[in-house]
Amino acid sequence: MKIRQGTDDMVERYLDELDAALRGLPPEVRRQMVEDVAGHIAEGRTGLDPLDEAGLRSLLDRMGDPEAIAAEAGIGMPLRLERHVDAWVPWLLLFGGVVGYVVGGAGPAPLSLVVGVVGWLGGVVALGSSTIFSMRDKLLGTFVVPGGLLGLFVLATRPVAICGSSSGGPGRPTVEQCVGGTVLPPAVGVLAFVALLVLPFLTAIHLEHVRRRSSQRRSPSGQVA
Amino acid sequence: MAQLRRGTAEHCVLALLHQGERYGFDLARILAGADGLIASEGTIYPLLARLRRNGLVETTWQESTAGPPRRYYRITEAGERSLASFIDYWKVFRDTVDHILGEGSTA
Repeated sequence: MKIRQGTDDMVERYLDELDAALRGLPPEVRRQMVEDVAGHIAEGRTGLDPLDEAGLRSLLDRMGDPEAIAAEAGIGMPLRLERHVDAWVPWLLLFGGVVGYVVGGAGPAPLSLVVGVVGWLGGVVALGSSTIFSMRDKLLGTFVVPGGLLGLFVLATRPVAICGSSSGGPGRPTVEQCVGGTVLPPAVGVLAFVALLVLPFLTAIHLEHVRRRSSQRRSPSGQVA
Repeated sequence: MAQLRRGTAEHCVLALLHQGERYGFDLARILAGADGLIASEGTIYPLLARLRRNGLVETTWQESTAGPPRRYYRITEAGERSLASFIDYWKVFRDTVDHILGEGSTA
């Protein structure tokens, strides 16, 4: 009786290990798979003496390591499915904001900026919900540079500052006045220009590279080509 | 290679079910007895779950005189179509690979 208890414990331990290894599957799929394996073991045990510990060990060996069953179920190998929209992600992030800004009127009114941001957010949502990009790619795509080329476009299309200086006469300070536009020190302006132009392009190229590599990994014909 | 083995094992299950319905234990014993198709008997269950999820097989519970109730698997219409196209594909694939491997070994 004590040995029977021991063999039952072995089965229970095996099923517990399997259940733990399958963590990550939808609960219903996981429950059903453990149930199927439990049924298989019960079926195998009908041909065994209930006290036959060696026979049970052989049966569990033939079942295989719970980790191997979990690997076959896709645990540890996240399912990466490419959707049509994934091909648009890099370009939505890069140009979505600009397109939205232009559609919104491209003017100084807040509406055009809001539409621009919405255009870029479309890319962010598509990126966030994709399964082919890693968390690092998602953070890069979202924060380098927010809005894509929108920032550069807004700066470039704002009215140019018109500056003039006037002297109040001998002994009085010269006063410089500017009307409209944005005034930045030249060094800051050049840096901002490069950052707003180059970084969004580099990010888009990186995301496109990740997407193509993922696509080739999944497609056997891609590997042959 | 794992993908090739997996796809082939799935269609071997469909081919066995094409002959008539079977239960998991039975399928596992047959496939585990064939070299290189599945890693162990237990790995048949994720494979069967995939086939069921893709609508290629359906299941029913049936009482057994020898033990607990058994889940029987039956091939569906979609499963038959998938099997037929796999058989066509496999013949071409096998001949092509045999041909290339043959050329390689005589070179």
